[in-house]
Amino acid sequence: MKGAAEIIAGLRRREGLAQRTFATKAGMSFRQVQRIEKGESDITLSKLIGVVRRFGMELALTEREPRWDALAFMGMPLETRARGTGRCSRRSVDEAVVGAIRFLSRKDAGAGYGRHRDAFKALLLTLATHYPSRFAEYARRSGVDVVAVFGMDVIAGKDIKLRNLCLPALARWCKSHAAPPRQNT
Amino acid sequence: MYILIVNRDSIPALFEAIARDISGDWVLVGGALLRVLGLTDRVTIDIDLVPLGKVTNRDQLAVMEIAEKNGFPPEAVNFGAEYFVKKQKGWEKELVLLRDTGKARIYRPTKRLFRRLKEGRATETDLADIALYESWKEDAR
Repeated sequence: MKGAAEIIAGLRRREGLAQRTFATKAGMSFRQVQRIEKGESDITLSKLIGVVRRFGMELALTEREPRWDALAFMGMPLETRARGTGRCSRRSVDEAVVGAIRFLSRKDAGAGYGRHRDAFKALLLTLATHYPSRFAEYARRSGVDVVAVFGMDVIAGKDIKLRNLCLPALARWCKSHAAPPRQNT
Repeated sequence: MYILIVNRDSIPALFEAIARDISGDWVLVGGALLRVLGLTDRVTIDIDLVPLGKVTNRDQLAVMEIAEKNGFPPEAVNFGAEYFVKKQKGWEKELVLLRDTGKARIYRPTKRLFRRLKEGRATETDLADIALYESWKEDAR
């Protein structure tokens, strides 16, 4: 989740206000706004909700954007600029897979994520066909009916092509991260 | 758009369609071989087919057309395994006839060649496939 500093600073910039003006409108002191934005002070959740509402906004719980770079590192066939450069830990990749299942299964996640969905389906297909234990564990942890949500029983030529791109990279990744997925998350 | 409805019969059905119409000498490898032999029910979404001799693009397109004519995506036939089969030393001596249709002969790899093809990548399924194929009683080799 974003910290209070990011939320307050983001809201203030969105409104195009200086800290002093923002403070007045938010019912806070100028010093409070300064300290929160610098990360020197925190704010209670109820107070933050109140401030946000003064500007006609709501704080909402949403699935976090998955770490696409971690998934590409694992073998998901994403365009190279999303691949990232650093190595990703086994744990962060496991979390990214489960997070992506949840994120892409949301009804409102369709727009703007078509390519991500295709590439992720390829990763899921590769897991299902070549690492069935891992696939079952990810599906269980996500709590999502993965086969139905991602249409994994209906395979187009595009799915097979992307799966073929994914398989060698995933096999290399799995060899270097041999432990089974972490339980209890 | 052609789609493959994945169920336990789809890949054996695609193989039968190809075997019926194909000509020349080919090798069937990969998970599809185990499905065709009835050794597993596991999900596989394509057929790995290797031409025994030299083939042209036209030969490959003909096989893909057979797939398409039978309602499968052409990508469900994969020729990429040729590289891996033909770089195995003595691969030609590691083939067993699986099907002779008169106009086509389709071979399968011996257990030894099958292991060599699968153990390099060594996915969970590859290792399970090796164990299944090697425990298959009908092949004495």
